This record gives sequence, C-alpha cells and structure tokens, in this order.
Amino acid sequence: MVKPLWNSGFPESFWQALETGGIQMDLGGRYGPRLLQRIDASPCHAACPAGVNVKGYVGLIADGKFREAVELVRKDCPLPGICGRVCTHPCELNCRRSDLDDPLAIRLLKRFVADWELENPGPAPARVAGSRPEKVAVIGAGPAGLAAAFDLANLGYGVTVYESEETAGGMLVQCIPSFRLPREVVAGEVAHIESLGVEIKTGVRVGKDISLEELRDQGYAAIILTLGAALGKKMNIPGERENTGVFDCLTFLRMASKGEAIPKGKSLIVVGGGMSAMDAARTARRLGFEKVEVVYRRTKEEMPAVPEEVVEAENEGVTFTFLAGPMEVIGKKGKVAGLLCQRMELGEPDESGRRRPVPIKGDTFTVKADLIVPAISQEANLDLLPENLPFKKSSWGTLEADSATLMTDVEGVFAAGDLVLGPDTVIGAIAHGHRAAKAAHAWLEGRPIKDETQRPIEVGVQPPLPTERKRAIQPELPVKKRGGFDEVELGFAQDLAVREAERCLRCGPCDECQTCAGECRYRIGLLSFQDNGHNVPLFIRIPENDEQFPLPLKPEPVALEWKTRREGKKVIERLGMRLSSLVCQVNEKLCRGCEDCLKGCDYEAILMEPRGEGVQVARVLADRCKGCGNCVPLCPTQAMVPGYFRNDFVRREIDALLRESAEVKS
Amino acid sequence: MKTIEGNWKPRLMIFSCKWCFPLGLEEEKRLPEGSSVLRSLCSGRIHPSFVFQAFESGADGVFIAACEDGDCHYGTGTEMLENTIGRVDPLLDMIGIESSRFRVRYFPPGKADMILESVQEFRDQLEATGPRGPLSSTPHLTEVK
Repeated sequence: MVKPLWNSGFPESFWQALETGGIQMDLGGRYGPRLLQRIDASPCHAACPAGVNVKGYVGLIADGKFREAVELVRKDCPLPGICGRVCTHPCELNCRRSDLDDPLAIRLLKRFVADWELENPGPAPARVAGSRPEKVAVIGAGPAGLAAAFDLANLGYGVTVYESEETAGGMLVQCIPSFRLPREVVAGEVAHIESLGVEIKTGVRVGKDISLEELRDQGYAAIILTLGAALGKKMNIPGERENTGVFDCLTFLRMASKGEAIPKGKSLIVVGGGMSAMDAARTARRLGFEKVEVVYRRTKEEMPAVPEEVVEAENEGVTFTFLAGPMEVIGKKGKVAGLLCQRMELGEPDESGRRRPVPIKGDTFTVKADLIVPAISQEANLDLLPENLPFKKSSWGTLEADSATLMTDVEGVFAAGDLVLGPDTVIGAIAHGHRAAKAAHAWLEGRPIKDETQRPIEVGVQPPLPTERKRAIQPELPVKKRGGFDEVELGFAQDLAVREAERCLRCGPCDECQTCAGECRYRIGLLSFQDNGHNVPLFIRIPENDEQFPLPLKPEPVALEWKTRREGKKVIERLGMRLSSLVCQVNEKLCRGCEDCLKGCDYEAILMEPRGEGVQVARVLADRCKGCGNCVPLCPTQAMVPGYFRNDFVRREIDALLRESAEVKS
Repeated sequence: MKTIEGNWKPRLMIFSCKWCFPLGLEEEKRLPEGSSVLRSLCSGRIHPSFVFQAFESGADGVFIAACEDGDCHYGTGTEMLENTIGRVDPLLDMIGIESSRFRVRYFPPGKADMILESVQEFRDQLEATGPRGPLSSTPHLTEVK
C-alpha cells in the first residue's frame, strides 16, 4: 500500500477506505491481504448486462470450488448452462488478458460449472415461493420471463408462468438449434426454476385461452409481459410475396426445430450476418441443402455474429458473399429461383460504429437459390396484446414501458425483454427480466423504485499469476460427424476448466467471490453484505502487523506539488514536503506480474522482479522513470500509482489552505 | 471561528476545475471573505477524500464548481464527479456533517458572475445555519473479532 504522507485526525483506515472504496484486511493463507471493495467492477463484470460476477466465479473454478461458482453465477443469471452455450459473451470481449495473449474462455467456463452441477446435483434449493400472500403472473417463458420468475420466487411470491407453446424456453427452444443448445439443458434449467416453486403452465395462450382480466380476477397482483420479439422481419423487396420459398429466419428455424416439412431444394440463401443467420445457415446444411450462401451487406469484420459461430459455419461448408444487399427475389413459375443482389462498398461509420454499406450504382449480380431465408431482424408481435387495454406502441414497434419502472400504461402490468427492448441477446433479456422482477417487487411493496444496482462490499484474494499459458481449446464434434442435430461444442473437462480459470488476471483489487458472506472461511470474522443503513462499506480491522503480509513494504519516496509548476516550489517549502523525482510506484500487493505496464513504458524503466516460483512483480527504476504515467492506465489491477498529485498530497494542500485562511483572520 | 469583531464567519472551501472557474476570481478578491479555492485540471479529479479533508481542516462548507454535463473539456469529468458525489453524500452523515454543507453546482464555461452569485448564496446559507458541530473523530469503524 502506498503509505500516507502525514496523519490527520481521522483514522488512516477511513482515508484508505475512501481511496479504495473499501478497506484492507488479511485473509491469511495463500490469499494474503486484500481490499474490501464495493465499487469498480473488473472489466468482465462491468461488461455483463446482467452483472454476472465473472471474476468471482472464474476464481472459484480456479480454486476447484465448482458448487460455489455455479451458485454465484445463478445469483445474477438463473440460466447458467444456457448462457454457457449461447451467450454472446461481452465479458470475453472486455477481458484484459487479451492484451497479454488471448481472452479467457469465460463462456465455456460457465458452461463447465453448469454441466458439472448436472452431474453432481446439490441439495434441492429451498422452496421459498409462496411465502408471501401476493401472486405474480409472468406471460412468456423465454429468458426474460424465466429470470423474472426466478427472482420473484426467491423473493417469496407465488409465481405462475404462462407459455403458449408446449415447452418452456421461448426462443431458446423454438429457434436456437439443438446442435448449439441441446433441449435437455433448457429443460434442466427450467426444472431448477420450477423446483423453487414456480408453476409453469405450457400450452396456454394468454389473450385467447385466458385474458389478463381473468388473471387479475384469479388473484395475480402483478403481471409481467415477456412476449419476446418472435416475428421475423420481411425484406420488403419485389418478388418476396409473389414467390413461394421465402421463409423468414424465425419461421425457418421453428419449422426445423419442430421437425416440420421444409420444401426440398439444393441451394439456400440466408440474408443477414447475425447469430440467427448463422443458426439458419448451419441448420440448412444439416437439412441437406448442398449449397448454403450467406449474403451480407457489410464485410466479415462488421458481422454481428460472434466469430466462433462464423468459423463453425465455414467449417460446415457454408459460403459467404459479403458486400451484397438483396434487391429482388427472382421467381420462376411462382417459385423462388434466385436473388438479385446489389454490390456494396463501405462508407462512413454509422451510429453503431460500423461502417455503413453504400450501393455501387449499376453493379448487380444474381445468386441462384431454391429457398431464401431473410435473417434481418425481429420484431415483437404486438397483435397478441388485448385491444381493450390502453397499451402503447413505441415508434420502434415495441411495447412502451416506463424506462425506470418498466410498467406499461396499464397499472400493475410490467413488460420486459425483447418485447420492450427489441431483438436483443439472451443475457440482455435476462438482465431486463431481473429489472422487471425488482420493479414489480417494489411496486407491490408500495416503495418507489430506486436504482438497486448498488454493489456489495467484497473480499478479494491475490494468488500468484501462473506461468504464461495459451487459451484452452474445447473438444468439438468433428465436422464429418455433424450430419445430425447433436451438440457441436463439447465443453471443457474439469482439469482443462481449472487450468483455463487460472489464466485470469483478477483485474481490480477484489475477487468478488462473496464467499466471505456468512461465515468467513478463514474465521477472520463475520462479514455482512447487507447495507448497514449508511449505504457505506462495513469497516474491518486492518492487521497491525505488517509481517502478516507476504511481500515486504518498500519505503515510499515523497514527491511533488499540487498547484502549478510556477508555484510548486513554494508549496513544497510551505508544506515541508521532501522533493524527489516524479516516479511511478508499484503497489506490490496488487501487482499480478502480467507485464502489461512494460508495453506503456518508453523509457524501459520497469523491471520485472521474480518473487518465488511463478510470481513476479513490477519495479520502477527511479533513475529512468520520467513520471509520464503512461503505464498507469495499462495496469489491470490498479497497482501502478503515479508518483505525483497523489490524493494525500492534495489533502495536505487543502489542510494548509484552510489553516492559512484561519490564521489570516484571527 | 471568531473574527476580530467576535462575529463568526463561515469558512468556505471551493473546489473547481480550471475550465469553468475564471482565474481572476480569487486574485481580484471577488470571492466572499473566508473562501479558499483549489483548482484542479478537471473536476473529475476531485476525490471524495478532498471533501472530507476540507471538513476535517475546519471548513464550514464545501462547494464544488464543475462544468455542465457535455461541456467537460475532457469528456467524462462531470460523470466522474457525479460518481464521487455518490460516494461522499452517504458518508457525510457518518462524520456528523449536514448534507446541506456540501454543494455541487454546474456552470457553463467562463460565467464568473454565475459562480460568484452561487457561491455567495451558499455562503449566506452557511451563515444563517451557523457554525458546524464537531466531527465524529471515529467514523463508525466496526471492528470484527
């Protein structure tokens, strides 16, 4: 820890708590000292729409604590096995390890613990649903509805989920093909939610079999609508309606997944570059289409589908035509014969940051096909909503709901998921479902809805960084064996998962595993995650003896001024500071030895110092360091501290200013 | 504190960023008596601990002048300041300071009169409220056995 410049009236732990957002304590053993922290999530954690504690569960996997890991995932994501397979993993895109070599395979680690739990089922979860008198109805058993039901059941409400299809899961079972997401996995996770006491009524279409008013009369105090965005958008080009053989992506996938007859043919075109497009193309290959062509208006880099999906599609023989936009469906005797395409080039970036496709005038070409599957976008089917109630439609074709309370214009009816957001990811829908549950809970209790994203204080650990290691590769079904709809990805075995989890750099000062909640495993004391009324961290005693820390403390040089350089010397004299060179310093307790800082240093002023097997820490060479601070933002664990303008220097300056003004007056 | 006449005057600590706070204000002594100014490059740099240090060193009120959202020279400074305030507010209560003694105002660049008016108003309010009580020296440190 960077030592304070001088001591003031408040205990040092108070200032430290302010500096770090928490306070330091020693957990002993290999965990050593860490900071109790309540703000600043690690990049992966911050990137997750549902706020899944990525670093926490990855750390627990590395420790071999699989049960705790899956339970930690489930706190924010009730569908770990599903997300472990189909999530678009924004966490991996933000992983700081990708600066070093490759990002962690976070999605597959989550899948591993979910699979592990299936093989090693734990004790049945406590049935808390129904402990409150109020009942809540959720309409739609997709990810948003299931997440809302899960939360409300855990809060003690009696929850009934109404699903119009025969199986619960929404898009997860209707459209995502089973080679990506086996139906047993969905059934397992739905069963887990049911085991909490949630009742799922399938085959009941609300609005037809039962109306919202009837639900009200049956005693449901609140209703959450999660109808999704289950309509595929049309291309709206000539020839689309006149010719048979154009199926929007969702209809196509739904037919394939239900085993309904799809017109036979040799070649098929998928229009679009998203996840559904890849699903449709890979499904078409499995249905026996010899030539499957994906037509996309931009290039491979701009494709919204995650790269591994594109690679798998290529492996399975799907071909791509980039920079081509659909212009006209060409028919022959009322049947699709091909697609007239407009050649595009990339222009200026649009609002999404991707470069906009611009047509090259006069440059068109035709792709022959027997079937065309547009996978452009999806929209909500608002016709399902009862007409007698004043629901409002937004200009985006979604249902309008209050942005804070998620309540629609009908009192007590909330809406979440794709129905409100428009087509989004599974994890986005889950996050929105959580919000709807919170909103309904607050409304039922008659409280205003506040931002409940406040993060708890947490304890972290800092084990040594293992030696450099490449990202683990999961086994996959060989391309030759992929004729059927068996799952392609096979997931990590246990030892591979642990090795992969150990690659985590543990960015940020805390592991956030929350195993300190309840009785601390090191018997340091009882830590509470509860708000203590002041909305501030709970303070824990700091060990007095520095020897408890595994790494020795180095004396800190005292450095410079706060105000302008012109006045700098004056300030230093007045405050009695000792001047030394402007050097960065390394907080050795936070340094993970990842060498990221080396990349930022133009003066070769950083040296890696070995500290035992597999452990190294950065050291700044004071004679070379120019204090430019380039290395500071590169440090994923905030271990690099600039040597100037430190908070305690400024505090001393404030103290001097106020005392001076007091002297002048008296 | 007492002045020579024996009248108590509030001591005011002003934090500001250098972009919205004209340099002349303190040099021309246009600010109310008893105010100290600390100017940082950006109000995003104002750390929660600065506010507490000011109170600990005897300030009766802390005023932060910052750029309006969207006007920040560096883009995200105002956002960072808001994060800071979120951490300061709940803790003020713990050290025994009324939240009315801490004020944040946003200004367009270079509007000296607006700042002066706002600071004066804050000072008048502090004067009306009177001197603050002693700080609780131990901010609720919970020891865990």
